[in-house]
Amino acid sequence: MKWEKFSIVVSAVLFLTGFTRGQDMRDFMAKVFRQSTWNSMSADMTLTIIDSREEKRIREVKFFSKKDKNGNNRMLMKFIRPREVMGTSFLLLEHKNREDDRYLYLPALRRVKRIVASGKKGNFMSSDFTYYDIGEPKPDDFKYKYLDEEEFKGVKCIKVEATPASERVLNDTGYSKIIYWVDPEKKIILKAEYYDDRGKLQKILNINEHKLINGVYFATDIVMKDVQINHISRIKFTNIKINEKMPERYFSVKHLRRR
Amino acid sequence: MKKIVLLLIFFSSTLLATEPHGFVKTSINLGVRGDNKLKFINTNVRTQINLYQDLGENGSVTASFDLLYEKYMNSTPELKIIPVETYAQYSGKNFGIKAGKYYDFWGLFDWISPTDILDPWDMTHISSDIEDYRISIYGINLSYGSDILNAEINLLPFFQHSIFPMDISTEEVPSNQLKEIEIGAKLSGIAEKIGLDWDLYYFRGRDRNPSRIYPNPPAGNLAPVTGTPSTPPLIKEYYQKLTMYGIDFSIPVSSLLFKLEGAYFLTEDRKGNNPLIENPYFSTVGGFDWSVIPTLTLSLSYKLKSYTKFNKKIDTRGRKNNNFFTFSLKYQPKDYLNFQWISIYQIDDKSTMSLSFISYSIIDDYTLTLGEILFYGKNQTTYGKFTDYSEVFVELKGSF
Repeated sequence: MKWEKFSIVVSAVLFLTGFTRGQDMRDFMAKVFRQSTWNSMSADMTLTIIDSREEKRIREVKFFSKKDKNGNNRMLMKFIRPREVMGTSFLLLEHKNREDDRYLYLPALRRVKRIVASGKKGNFMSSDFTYYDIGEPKPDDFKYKYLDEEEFKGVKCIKVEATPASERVLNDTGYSKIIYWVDPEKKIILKAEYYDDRGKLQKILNINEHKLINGVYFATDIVMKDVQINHISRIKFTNIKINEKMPERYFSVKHLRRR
Repeated sequence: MKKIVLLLIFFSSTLLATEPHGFVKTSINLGVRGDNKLKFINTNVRTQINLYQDLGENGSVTASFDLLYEKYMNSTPELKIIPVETYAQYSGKNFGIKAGKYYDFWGLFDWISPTDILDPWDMTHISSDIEDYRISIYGINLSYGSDILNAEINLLPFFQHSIFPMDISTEEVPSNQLKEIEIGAKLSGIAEKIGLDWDLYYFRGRDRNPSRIYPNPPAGNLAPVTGTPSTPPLIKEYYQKLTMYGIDFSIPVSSLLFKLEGAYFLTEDRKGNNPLIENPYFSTVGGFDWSVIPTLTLSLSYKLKSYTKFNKKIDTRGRKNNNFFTFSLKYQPKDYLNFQWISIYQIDDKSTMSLSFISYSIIDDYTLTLGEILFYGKNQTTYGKFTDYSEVFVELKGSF
């Protein structure tokens, strides 16, 4: 028994010592991000935005995402609710070596318009999530540091601090620091704090539920609170399909017009 | 009217089973630039019903029509049924076909796009929603798309012209004959490596805006006017034939989207000898959209219209070149609050058009909009001639 306890302590020390090295921490976070990464995904998404007066606005969207042959993410959203924007579609094509392409189909205009990129820190559907928040995290965008352990929702989590690896990342994301609460067993993020470019706490992310679908830990209920303006956004996913067959044409400008 | 009724009957029978959606919008427009400052009060209630039905995996039918109750200018109130769009569509893997009444907007620039010439304008219904001031076209649209190229052809059998607030009751509208079928073609692609989108356009048809002619001059229909006629001749509004060749490009650079669009218009007056018909011309617009901050987009552009067959001795009305500067701003601090301002300045005759509005979504699906469209300039200048039609408006829209 003593030996068991001793070996646990030794393992824990080695584990934590390992985490103090930046590269190990980077590799650990890469694994965490990979756990929640898919090749293709479709789902019905409900976004609830609650402002400081507690007024709720609800948006419903059909959400499709698929990587292209070069590993770039593509995202298609078709708006269902509110009725006023029903039929609006948005296509985001990410590129590694140049600006992302963004196209918007507005049913009133009956035209697909190419729209100017507002950067990764632009708000996604006027919510508290930015395009960076909902996109696939790139491990090399940040440097990682082990902070300590902390219990969160009954799970002994590892706290990891991420700071931008370059000025470009700071400008792109608007975050000077992100602190993650990671479940070390499942390697999934349960909570995160986002600090603005002046170093002040701006937003708190809580992931209420993960579902394991086709080998991917998918966050199905996510709440982001902007503590500076007391504004909350909650995203819930239903009817989730991961890594199932999805037509390539969904991610074409021409397809945006289709319902 | 007959074709409208036929289209409605055909599509309504298919679409009766679908759940309708649309909106009810009521608006009041006050004319503010007349001699007595309140030139007119227009009121209308527009109920738009949209029906959509999938036909199998690739087919669909769409019908959209307005019930419009309107009191326009000094006329008596009217209730009208206006087909907005009514078409059947098949979209295969590469090939598509659409037939009926539909919108087809071309070009990159709102309001001043040289190539956006398929849909006529309805200048009597300017509002915050673009579908209120554009008119859909009857036609057949054939399309082909692959990974690198998209091609579209529009065949338009029925000519439709723009509608202006001024009375043009002496217009001469072309007959619906086979030889009058208009053709519009578009080829699109993207240079993937640099993200450059491009389009090529071709149109052979008629101008949506009228030229003015003497219908029975002594020396032929389109003869130039020389000397002083003994009696004032009757002037007719005439929609001249034209051919257009156009091109556009757009490319994003950081938070800017650069756009360039140009077209050459070959008009009926190919030698530039008739002062009443517009001469052949180039029309070019260049500019950019700039996302200043994520909630604020600023667009600036410059448009040059240059007549290629300009003859100063004959044509004393205008200029060889017309220069426009446009400015637009969109500010959306919250998803329920939206401010837009579009302004076009005609540099040569110093006339201006300004459209601005602020929309507030009271609750989801209910939006209140306050706006204005103002024209400034001397009489007979590009925008000055519309001065009396300047207005402020208030709209309340509920979607279902």
